[in-house]
Amino acid sequence: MDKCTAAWKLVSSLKDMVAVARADKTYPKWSDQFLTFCERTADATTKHLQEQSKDNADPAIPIAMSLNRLSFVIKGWELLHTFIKPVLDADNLKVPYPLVHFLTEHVGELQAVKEARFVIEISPELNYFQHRHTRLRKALDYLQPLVKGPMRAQRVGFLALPCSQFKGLFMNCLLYHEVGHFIAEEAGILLPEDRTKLHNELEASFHEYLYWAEPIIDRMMEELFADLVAVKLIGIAYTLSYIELLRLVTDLSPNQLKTFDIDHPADALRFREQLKVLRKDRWSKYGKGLPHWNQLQEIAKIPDHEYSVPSDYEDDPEMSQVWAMLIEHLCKPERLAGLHKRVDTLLSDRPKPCERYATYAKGIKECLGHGIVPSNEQGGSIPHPLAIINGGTLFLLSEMSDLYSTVPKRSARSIEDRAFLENRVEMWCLKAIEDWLIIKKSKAKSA
Amino acid sequence: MLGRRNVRDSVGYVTLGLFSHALLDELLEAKRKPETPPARKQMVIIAIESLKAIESPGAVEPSRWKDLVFQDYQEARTLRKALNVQTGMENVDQIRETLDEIIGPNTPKKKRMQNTDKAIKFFGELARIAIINAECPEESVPRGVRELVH
Repeated sequence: MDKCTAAWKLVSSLKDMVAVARADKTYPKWSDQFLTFCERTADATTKHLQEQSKDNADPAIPIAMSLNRLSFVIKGWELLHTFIKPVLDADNLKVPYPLVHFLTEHVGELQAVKEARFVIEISPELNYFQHRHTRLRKALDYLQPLVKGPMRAQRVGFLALPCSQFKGLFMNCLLYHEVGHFIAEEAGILLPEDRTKLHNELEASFHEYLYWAEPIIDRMMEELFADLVAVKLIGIAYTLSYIELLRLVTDLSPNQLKTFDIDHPADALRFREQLKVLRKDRWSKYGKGLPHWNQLQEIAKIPDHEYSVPSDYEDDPEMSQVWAMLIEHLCKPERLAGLHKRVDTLLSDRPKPCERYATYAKGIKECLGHGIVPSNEQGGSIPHPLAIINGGTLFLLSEMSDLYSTVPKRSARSIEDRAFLENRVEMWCLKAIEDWLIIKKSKAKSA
Repeated sequence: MLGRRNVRDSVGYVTLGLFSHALLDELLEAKRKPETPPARKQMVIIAIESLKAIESPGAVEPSRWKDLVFQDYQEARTLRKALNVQTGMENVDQIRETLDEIIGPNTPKKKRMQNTDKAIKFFGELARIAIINAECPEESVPRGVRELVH
């Protein structure tokens, strides 16, 4: 079989897979548009392959170049291959639809990323991801003229959540960190003058290896930036869900908290910067009763010099020193202050989550304590999703005793009962978000 | 079965390869009509802007970064590898000047033809290296980086 035919079969097979899935299931709006785009690109590619096959090849293009081009067209599809399956897995029944819908509206209303849209993926890992949409976008933008494919939609991000979290709400607040990566890619994490400063400083330390050091620092700063975006957009619920995920998958030991990995800054540094935002946004008042809050304050006290280099390099004295240099550059106070300032500027028009929470906190607590969906009207309006998400999270972590007294047959001592009621709280909150979205839509229609 | 096959890990190489071919398309078209500046030059402009950003990152608007090439490690690494005597381009400025002259409105026909050939050779080679890098495990740490501490 020649390579052109093999490529043709690969692309056709993917197209068929998408067509069958779309006939069987329904997908979130932007996921469905992405799948349609894939089908159309598949049509264009098969046509292109037909034209490029041996008999029709352009004599002006050398054979080696032509073969290389074919390899990259296949590579482009190999890349799309990795996106298509996780998107096909994330049909409407497999994602926390109200949260995803709200998130898209919430972020799409920000001036910095106006009309942003999100395609949702299901990940086999117990982790959240944002697949670098600009990389896929760039790959698709360069594939498009080669195969004369359709134009892609503007500002589409890809957010992946673990397959186990399709029913949940609070852990899925971590999707906002992935939104942070999206905003980082769209708007940039540094102002031109800060980028020049960073470039010059790194050049002085890393000389000809600047091309290696710069992307690493960039990646680390982007992680911090994404945390700041998340905590500013959604509030304390983000930091609390982050602690919960870490508690689930690690031992939360001081050693683990202080250690960098090759892609991510140490959790201690990440929490310290989040805490700055939480204090500034006036969450202290609501967080201080929680054990998590005390833990956060302790973690934030860990000084920079105690941060450890990635474990892959700890036994390599030279690489340890190189990494220590990178960490020192990252932790410079003016660098971190610059990141905070950038996030503040980009999100200056955000709805403030703490203010929303303060407005509806009492009503949400009362509803959840009585086992009721918290979408009853309070002072002429129903609770905003930001209030529901934060209210629900705080309720789960500190006020579940109210609910146990309302539901006498469920015991706080039974894991099964606890899991049942906690799941219920999440479902009630999701329902309340859905109610808010429905009312917003009907108001928009009638206006 | 086939060793490391996660294409997302080599997306920088894939992007660079696809970019090179999209650019080569424009260059091949320019070669057919050397009398006038190329009608299609979107990729050439992205290449020029990206090459400028390597030397002066501060000159780039933050929201433009996402559209540039040669800025991520895999793309930058491949570019560095392609800069040598054999490809006829030994530094970033040389490529930029070549591309500038191809799209320049006052470039003489002969010069435009020479530069188009030169750029085709270079970006053809860049695409060749990109496919090799995309298929082979990448070096996560450049050789020699340890010397920094001495």
